Amino acid sequence: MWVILRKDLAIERRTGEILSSLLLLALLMVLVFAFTLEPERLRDPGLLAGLLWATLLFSSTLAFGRSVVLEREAGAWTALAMAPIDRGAVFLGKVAANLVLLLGAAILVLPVMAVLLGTRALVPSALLGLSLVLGTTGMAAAGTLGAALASRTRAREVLLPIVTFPLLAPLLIAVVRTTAGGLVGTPLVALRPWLVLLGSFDLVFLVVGWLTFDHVLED
Amino acid sequence: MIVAPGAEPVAARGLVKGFGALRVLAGVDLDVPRGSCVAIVGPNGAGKTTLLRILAGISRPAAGSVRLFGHECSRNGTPAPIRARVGLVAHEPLVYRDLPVRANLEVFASLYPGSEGAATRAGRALERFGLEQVAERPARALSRGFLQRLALARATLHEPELLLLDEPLTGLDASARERTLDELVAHRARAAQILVSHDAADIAALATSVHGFRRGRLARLSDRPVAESDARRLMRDLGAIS
Repeated sequence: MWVILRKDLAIERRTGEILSSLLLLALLMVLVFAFTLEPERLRDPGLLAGLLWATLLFSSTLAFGRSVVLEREAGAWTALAMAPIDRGAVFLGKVAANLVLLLGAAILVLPVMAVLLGTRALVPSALLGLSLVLGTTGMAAAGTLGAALASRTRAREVLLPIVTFPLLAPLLIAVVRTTAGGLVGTPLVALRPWLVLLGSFDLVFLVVGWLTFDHVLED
Repeated sequence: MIVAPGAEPVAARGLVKGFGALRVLAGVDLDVPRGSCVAIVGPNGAGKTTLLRILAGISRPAAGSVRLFGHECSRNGTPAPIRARVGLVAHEPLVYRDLPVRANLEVFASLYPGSEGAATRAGRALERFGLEQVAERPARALSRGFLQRLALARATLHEPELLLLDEPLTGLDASARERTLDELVAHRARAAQILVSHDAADIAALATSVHGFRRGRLARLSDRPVAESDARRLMRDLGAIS
């Protein structure tokens, strides 16, 4: 797992492709929101949370697609499938690398969003941090699995959002609530059921991906 | 996992594989003993690459059995200790195009067990295939020949006991070809190889026997090494070359 994580981050350090495209798309979406939505409504932290996760959802599709392309491009995935390692660890390594990039993007985008959209309050809190970590983990797990499955087909670019967006619906509902709570300093315990849902979602997709990646890597 | 000591590297029986309505392998039998290099010839689409992918453990047959080093691998996949003993040179280089040559080899070396560190094994592979001068260059920037050398270095850096070679000398210049042939002949002495090639010279230089694809099955064409002219004739008879 660590070899895959290190390798993916080394490639990203050299090319900067995934993070730059992720940030660029996120910024464009924030600008679109800033120009098209009513300023009064944008002051609502609940709306800011929704816009943040919508932005991350769409821009993460690029990251997941690209992270699989770099494996498929020259057939490196075949060499990974042949290596005497747990193939589930390859999945976890890819998830970890996507998580680092996605979490980095979320941390960079959130304050930019708050400034551009003129949100009144942005209180860094444990709940906000936990929401970002749990939300991006689930997104990375479901997105990495979806991208790997979609990459086996010809219509992979179309299939990736079709496969992942419905899967991510429960995560998005929960994480928007916890993030909104985190932005205004709601106590963590008040949103416990949503946090449990987020944690369960992450666990399910990490385990499913780990168990099924053996078959994903084979023809 | 029980692995019989000294078991044959490859013993495949009745392998069947198709893609949709197209049946590519229709009952392939193949034995590959240690110290041998079995050449497999046939026209495009005959099933040579499909067979290599099944033996490499990255594709499963619809029917039939594959025993690698005495272990049945076709039903539940190839277990990790057996995968550690197999290497593959494929059509694609199977590397990361955005990583430098040395980093590529270190990544793959670190996935295999070994008494020496990944950097040491990668360094030795660089030397063996004459890649030192391009060691810090990204694979994306390599010429076809250097990319092929990288593919060979990656496939052999864990000293596989079974080496699957799909057109391994493609794109190499004369001196690299000689050097690689020497490496492969030396490797054959302590392991087993399967060579898929359309090049009669490659088959003459490496193969200890020749098999050919006919209607989805493998037929033994020669039990011994063949001269280049004989290899060409065998391939012509199968329609593999004109």
